[in-house]
Amino acid sequence: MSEKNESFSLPALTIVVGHYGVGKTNLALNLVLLQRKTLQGGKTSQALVDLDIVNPYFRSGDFARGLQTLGISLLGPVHGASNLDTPSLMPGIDVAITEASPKHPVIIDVGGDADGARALARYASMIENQPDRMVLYVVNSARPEVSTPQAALQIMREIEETSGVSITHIAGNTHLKEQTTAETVIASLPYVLNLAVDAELPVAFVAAPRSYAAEVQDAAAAGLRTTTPVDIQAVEATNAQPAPTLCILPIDILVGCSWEALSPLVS
Amino acid sequence: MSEKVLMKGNEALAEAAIRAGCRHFFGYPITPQTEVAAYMAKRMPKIGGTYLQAESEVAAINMVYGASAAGARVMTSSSSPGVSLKMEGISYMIGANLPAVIINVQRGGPGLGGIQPSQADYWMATRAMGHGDGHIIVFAPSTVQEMADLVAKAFDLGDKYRIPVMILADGLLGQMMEPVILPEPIDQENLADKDWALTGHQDQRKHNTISSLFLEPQELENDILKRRERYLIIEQAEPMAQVEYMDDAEVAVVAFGAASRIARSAVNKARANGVKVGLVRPVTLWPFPKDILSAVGDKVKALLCVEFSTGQMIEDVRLAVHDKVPVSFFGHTGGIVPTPDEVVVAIERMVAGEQFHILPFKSRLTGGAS
Repeated sequence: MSEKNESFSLPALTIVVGHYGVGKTNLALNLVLLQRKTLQGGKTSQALVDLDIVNPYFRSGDFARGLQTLGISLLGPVHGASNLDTPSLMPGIDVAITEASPKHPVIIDVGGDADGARALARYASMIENQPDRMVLYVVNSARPEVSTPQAALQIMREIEETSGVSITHIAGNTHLKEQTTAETVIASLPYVLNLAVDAELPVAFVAAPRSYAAEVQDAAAAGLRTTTPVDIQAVEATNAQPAPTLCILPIDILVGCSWEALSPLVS
Repeated sequence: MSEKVLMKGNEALAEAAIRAGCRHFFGYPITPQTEVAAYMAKRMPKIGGTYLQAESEVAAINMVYGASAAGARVMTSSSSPGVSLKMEGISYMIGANLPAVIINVQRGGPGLGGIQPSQADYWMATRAMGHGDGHIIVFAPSTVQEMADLVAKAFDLGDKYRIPVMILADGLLGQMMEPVILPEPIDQENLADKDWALTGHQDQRKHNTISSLFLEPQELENDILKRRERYLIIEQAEPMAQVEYMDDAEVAVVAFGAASRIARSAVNKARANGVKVGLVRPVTLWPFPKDILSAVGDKVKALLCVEFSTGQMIEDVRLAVHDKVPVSFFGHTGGIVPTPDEVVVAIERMVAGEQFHILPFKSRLTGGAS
């Protein structure tokens, strides 16, 4: 992958929201590992906040042990020793948000939809007081309930209304799990750009499985301008990037894998 | 053909039900099936259907009884403890010959148990879905795609035989996401008329009665025997199983639902080691695919059941093969999912001629009791 993507940098505070099942937890874990590479040297720390108190299955807390070995703090819901379905929020989350800085960055993995984003409302004022922040709205056009830009925009507005937190960027994350191909991601690029236009927000990046990222990057640079129904002038009129400058972010499928299988990725 | 979308098992169940003509859903939230109800709550108002969160599972199943009696395609869903609550209503529906689709996304039990995947409701679903002489049809899907496909079949068979039908899933299948091609929506106009339903006789016919109450013993026996004739037809016509890797198999693994996915991984691993092992996956648990199992039993030297329980389906497997071959068991329970490697070890022990019933607390695979 290009240098640009490897040096992709996140702000002090990154918040990951979106419709449930779009791949927020997998993306948040990828971001935290990516960020780890840029933080080498000096006195630094990293924290991942698992704010998903809606669904006790498939959450970043499942990776507690692996994150711990990497020295990444995990601030998760307190549920005794396991996935109980009456979780509560840790007091340390407040401090993590207010004291997040470039050397001590924080990523928050929020629960799905407006229901999941409700837990974020408690921190809304602290988040608004953190100037160095990015609130990513993650979308996956293979999920039926956000398969059109219009549907995705509606859920985005619901999340903003419920959480009281304004979304700052769109993040494309279209995938079909193991059946994802380069074409899956390439076909979703117009969707991401059209959503960005409708939402009047920039695209932070489009995530693609590591093995297909180069192909997606080439396709975005070569073909998108002429072969898709995206209104590029409208894209350029907003803050959204035109296709050739889209950042394609290579990611790995982490959720559903054992931590041991991931060790080559983080060594 | 619809395009491939990414769905959670619970969502696929709900959307497939809508596409099969279900416009009435009554339920109550419980992990790990809550997304079925949440999906219905969002979708039903948009398509002129009814979503109602009842005050309890008992209320929900009785609403299902009412909607079914009025001829509607109706569904409820729950997870193990909630299904226990529904059993009284299901028995009434069996007695009143009322079709409906009941989803059970199993979790660990007994009692409150846990919220992780389990298959320990096999006996409940296939033996004792409420009191009395009765059965329900039980489907055991193993993929999100199959969840979507079997829901439509469940509605069709329910209407055909006037019997409640259960989709017996588990927390793993309900919560996992997979690419799925959703079935095309049916045309409601094409559904057969339910001349028994309580739709108002308009003075055009004799009034219909739906009841499970027969105070005269002879009437009750007659009614039960009449229903039993239908059961015999179902047992002949409807068993389903998937049989794989049997051409050269000397032993075979039997597993349903999510356990069959792990069994398949184990079978592939064992085959890579040169072990000639087959796989049988019952898709209907009642009627149990006895003839298919019996034929497999004639071909192999030994069978191994793999379940997320302490061993329940194994009884049906032993009955089906008339104990002609030894049937061993391996499983985990309480929400622990066996690993393919553990199953491979169990396969190797079966091949070595052992017969065992290993539970995880018997020091895993090292010293299980026979």
